[in-house]
Formats: sequence, structure tokens, C-alpha cells
Amino acid sequence: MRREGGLLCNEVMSRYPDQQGMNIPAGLKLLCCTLLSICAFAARPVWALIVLSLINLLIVLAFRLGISFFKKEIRVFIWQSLIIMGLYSLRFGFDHGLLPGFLTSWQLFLAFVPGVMFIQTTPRSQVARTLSRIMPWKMAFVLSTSMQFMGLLLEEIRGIYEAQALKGGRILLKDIWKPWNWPDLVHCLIVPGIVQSMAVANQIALAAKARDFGKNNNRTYWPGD
Amino acid sequence: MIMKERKGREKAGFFNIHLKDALFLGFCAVFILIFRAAFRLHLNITGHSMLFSIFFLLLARGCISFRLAASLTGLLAGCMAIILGLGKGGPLLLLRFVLPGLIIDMGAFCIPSMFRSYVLCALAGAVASSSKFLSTYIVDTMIGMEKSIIFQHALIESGAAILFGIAGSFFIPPVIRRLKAYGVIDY
Repeated sequence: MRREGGLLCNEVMSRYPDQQGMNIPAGLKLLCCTLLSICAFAARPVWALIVLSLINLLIVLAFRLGISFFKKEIRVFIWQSLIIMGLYSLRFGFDHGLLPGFLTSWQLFLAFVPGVMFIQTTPRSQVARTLSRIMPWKMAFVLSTSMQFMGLLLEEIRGIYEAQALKGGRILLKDIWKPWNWPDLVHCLIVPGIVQSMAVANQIALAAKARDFGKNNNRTYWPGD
Repeated sequence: MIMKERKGREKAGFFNIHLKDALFLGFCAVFILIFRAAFRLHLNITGHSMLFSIFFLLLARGCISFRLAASLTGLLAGCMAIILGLGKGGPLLLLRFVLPGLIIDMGAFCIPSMFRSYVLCALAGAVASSSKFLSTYIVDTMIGMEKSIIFQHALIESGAAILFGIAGSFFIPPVIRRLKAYGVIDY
């Protein structure tokens, strides 16, 4: 579980980007990415798709997103294209369905890539700050606090897991795959995990209120700053 | 008097929900994303993420006596997914999390005791998971796909999601029963 917990955290935490490339305000970046997505939804002719692809490519190069970004996104594109082209081929036949299917998949890809680029190039605290302008500030606080305490919560649940496994609970990875062990999973891990999450939420809320949380609506500090 | 005033101040704003309850919903949202991310490492089965999404959305509504608890959890999960770059929906990711939440909230509003019944939970889970059909349909329509292909594509996407959603909802009745027995849920 220690290794799994670390893996879970790493998988999520690795998505927290470092600021790289140009230093552009997050709000402006979000606006540009949303506009690019809207353009992709509206783009029908091939030349429009080529122009949009070039713009996206320029942004990727300007922000130095690297080879791994290309590899990951191209894999998504190929997988998605196979499904859509297959469906189009079934409907219109192989000759008439392949190209329209590919163009639709290309369009869909261009609609989603700007969002991924925004996330990859914007620090988490900046995104939270931007979101706080368009959502209630308390919600933005809950959002950033839950993400901040994610690691602590996983540690607490790991402690519960280890204690229950030592007590003989059938909750090891090799046991979880067997459905007859699921009652143990519920009683030994899920329920105590939920109770612990509630306790942590209560403690954070108490600490926030003790510091007069809610008196001033304009936050000056966000977790991750 | 002071306690009353504090309680009143605490409940003001943010859909009239206590901060500790809102934080618990935030944790449920975090768990949805953690399991989504973790299982994407090992599995690549369409719709498997619905297992955890439906479980935690039902759990959020079952544990917190707030009418929009599941929707709020979905909204938080959607925002976190956007922030963390999970999924490939961009801003449309919100739809994928909020729609199931709204359906669960509506179900709980109509039948408040649904969290005790396996059948009702499975039904709520299935209907909530089927919202993937709608979100896929909307995205594909916006792209301008052929109508019959949109239908097939959305059907493939949502079929597996419904099965996983039902599986996730089967964990809810024993968990809620136990939490009530421990006195963690008192409504």
C-alpha cells in the first residue's frame, strides 16, 4: 500500500505543472484556450483544421511542452481516430467513411488539446486564483484545500490499511479481486476511511474558523503559492 | 447567543452548507480523481471510471444531508479534473461529473431512503452513469458528426459506464448502514 499510495499521489501530483515558457496571466491563457476550442468546434473545412493545428503546434513549441506531451496526445489521437473511423466505415463503407471519420477525429482532438495545454503550462495556484474569479470564493477555498490535503488523507488511509491488514483483514491487493472479500474491504477500509475523512474535514473547518475564515472575502494567499 | 450567531454566520453563503461538510464533499471529489488516475495506469477499459465516480457521488449524498451534495461533489471533481488535466474533455469535463451528480440528487430528493436499498441504488447508479450518453452526444453533435454514428459512439461509451456505475452503487447500502450504526450519519 505504501508503494501504491505513493503511486497514486505521484500520478496526480505529476500533473501539477511547473511554470515554463512564457509568463502569461492564467486568465488570458484560459480565454485563448477556450477560443481555440470553440474555433475547433466550428472548423469544418480541411484548411481551417490545418491552420488550427499549426497554431496549436506553435503554442506547444512556445511553451516547450516537450516530446512526452506529443507522445501522450498522439496516442490519444490514434486511439480516438480508430474508434471514430471504424464507426464511419461501418456506416458509409470503407471508401467513403475513412476520410470523414479521420477529419471528425482531428476536429475533436483540436477541440480538446487547448485545454490540456492550459493545464500543462499553468501552476495550480494560478488556476485556483483564476477559478475564484468565476466561482464563489468559498468553493475555490474548498477546492484548493481538498487538493492540498490529498496527500495527508492518503497517508491516514494508508495507516488504516496497514493496521487492518496486520489484524488479518482480507484487503491485500491479491484479495481485493475476489468478490467474496469485498465485505472485508467495506468494513476494514472503506468505512474507517470515510470516518477519517470526515474527521480531517472537521479539523480543517475548525482551524479555518479559529482563524476567522470568512471574515474577508478577498483571499490573498492560495495553497501552492 | 454567540453560538447561535456563529452558527448563522457559518451557514451563510455557498449554497448554505457547513464548511466541514463542503470539505468532506471536496475529499469525495479528490477520491474520484485519485481512483480515476490510479486505474488509468493499469486498465484501459471504457467506462471503468464510473465505478468510483458513482460510488463517491452516492456516498456524498448519502452522508451529507444537503440536497445538492452530489452535484456539488461533481462540480468540485470537474473543476479539479480541469486543474489537474485529467481526462480529455477540457471545460466539457464539468458536464461529465455534474450530470450524474444532478441525477443522484434528484433521485435522493424523490426517494430519501434510496441509500438503504440495493435495487434503488443500482437504479440511481445506472441512470446517473447513462448521463455519459448525453455528454458524449452533446460533444459529438457540436463537432458535426453523422447522427447515426453519434448514437452508436455514445452507446458504446455509455454501455460500459452503466455496468460499472451499477457495480459502484452496490457498495453504498452496506457502507451507509454501517456509518449510521456508528452514529457518523445522524439524519
